[in-house]
Amino acid sequence: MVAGAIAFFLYASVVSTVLMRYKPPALTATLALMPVWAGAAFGIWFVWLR
Amino acid sequence: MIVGFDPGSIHYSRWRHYALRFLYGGTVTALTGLIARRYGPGVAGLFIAFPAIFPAGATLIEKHEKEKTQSAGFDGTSRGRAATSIDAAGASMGALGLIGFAILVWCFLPHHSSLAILTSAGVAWLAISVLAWWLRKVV
Repeated sequence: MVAGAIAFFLYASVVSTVLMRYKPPALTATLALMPVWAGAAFGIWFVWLR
Repeated sequence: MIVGFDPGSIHYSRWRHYALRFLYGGTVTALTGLIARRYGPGVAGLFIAFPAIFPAGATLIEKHEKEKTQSAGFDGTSRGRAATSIDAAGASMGALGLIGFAILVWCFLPHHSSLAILTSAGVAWLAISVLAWWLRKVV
């Protein structure tokens, strides 16, 4: 849950920045950036918690 | 854009919007249970913080803001996306609170009362999230 929450923080921060700077449709940005969450969550889990 | 609490906005959302959020949230919750059974609680814990409702919520906020601005005679696309960006910033502040919640539960739940720890962690989530939002406004 800690790793997932850190990943969600990164994901939401990137989504916010991208939406503010480039103004793409919300659905496109939120779905296209989902790999940021997955990469961070599984990366932290693999390095720290596995 | 000023962020505030407006209970009247409940009337703007339709029942299918709430149903959509419950559907996404419920599906991911059920999947998390299946993942926990197959791969254990460590991997399943990741999915407790999966952004399941966020894309649906963000899309609905964009649509709602756009329609509101269009009813005033403007395009509304840019405002809708700006509102979604602020929603995402709020979500990141909430995620900081969630990190605090998860750390407290991880460290103290095994040796203390569940009710006391979950209540304390909930209060910590609220305090950290509000503090993060306040600091963001100040800085």
